[in-house]
Amino acid sequence: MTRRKVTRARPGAGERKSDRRGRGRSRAGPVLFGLVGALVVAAIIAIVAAGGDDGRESSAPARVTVTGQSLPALPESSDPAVGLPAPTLEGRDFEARPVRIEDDGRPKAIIFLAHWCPHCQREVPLVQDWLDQEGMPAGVDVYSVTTAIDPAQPNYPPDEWLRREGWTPPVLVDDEKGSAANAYGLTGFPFFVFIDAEGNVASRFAGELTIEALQAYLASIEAGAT
Amino acid sequence: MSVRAFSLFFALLTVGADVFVLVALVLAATSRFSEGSASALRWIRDMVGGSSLVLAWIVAAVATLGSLYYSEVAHFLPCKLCWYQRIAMYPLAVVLGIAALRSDHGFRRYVLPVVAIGAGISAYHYQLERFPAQASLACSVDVPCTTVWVWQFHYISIPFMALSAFALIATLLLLGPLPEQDLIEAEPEHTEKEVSR
Repeated sequence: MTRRKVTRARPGAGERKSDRRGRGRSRAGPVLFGLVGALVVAAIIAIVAAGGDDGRESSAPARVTVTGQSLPALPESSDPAVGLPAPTLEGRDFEARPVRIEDDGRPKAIIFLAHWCPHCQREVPLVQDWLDQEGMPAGVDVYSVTTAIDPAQPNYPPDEWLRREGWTPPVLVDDEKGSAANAYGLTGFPFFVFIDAEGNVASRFAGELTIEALQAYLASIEAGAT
Repeated sequence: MSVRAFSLFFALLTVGADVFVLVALVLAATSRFSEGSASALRWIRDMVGGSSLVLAWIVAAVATLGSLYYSEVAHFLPCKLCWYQRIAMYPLAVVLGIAALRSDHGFRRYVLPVVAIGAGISAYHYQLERFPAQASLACSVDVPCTTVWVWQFHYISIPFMALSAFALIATLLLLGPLPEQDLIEAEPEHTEKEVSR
């Protein structure tokens, strides 16, 4: 059995400083000086390169009016909202043009998006590619709602993100309280609500949808309308 | 300084940490075969060795302050995995300071497992950000761990900053002088401190 014993005693008591350092020489000065220098240089580069502006000024607060009864939250199974009348949403888009999502006799899909959510960031180009190729489906209207808007969160502001993605469906901007999201019982992002021609909820879904699944949902509400 | 400037600052520190850790790893891996690598590693050990605890403490303190800046000033909400990494990092900012004051290089045997756990959580969090679909296909309404708050130089996010800090702390501690019954192999210049029976 080998046992190591270290002759290095506790610091102090007749021991040289260099011995206490254990390496024979103390280089603390230059190393610490170099570290502080690196911190200062990094700070200067960061200040100069980043500038002072975060570009986070928020515009006027959005307002959303909900008419009708709010839907219950989407549970794991057997959605109790199916068949219930979808509440009407009134608000504005990023250009302050009025947007109204109401029972107009046409089946519709509403996609709730959060700018900071990576799943929404993946879903948006997927849907837009499909819309670009196939065009907006003839018998179904597709709306979107940007909700959970937070200037402190990534990928803000959402209007820049959706413009960058070439997003074509109408966008209703939710208010700070998330009135539109709450009215539809949102439980996660992205959140899809499919509404039949009678204005009732046909199905709801939280999470990313493939284009095939989205088409199937749209086809089912479109078929119900004919 | 804006949040963007702070993120760039922390990202630059992260790049520096990554370069240092990579150089030390390469030198350690090749020192058995290359005298040049061995002497370069010795030089780094000579430069860093005695100050390793102080340097590791500074890294832990900067990481802790950076984490607090993001949550308390920039108002980035820490997710569950962020909190686990904080649990590993925050105590280091205190205990490494005490160890540095006492020149207690043997203390690293208590610290390195915590650093390894923290680094493991950071690595998992980072790959979860890169491949969010594995967690679920939906963001929760509260604070999902897949949200990327900061993205610098095409590879640095906040968990990667934490991973780099943990890796740098581990590297600095391993470069420190060898205490009794140490974790790494003794070098010839230390063998005179050891007696066998």
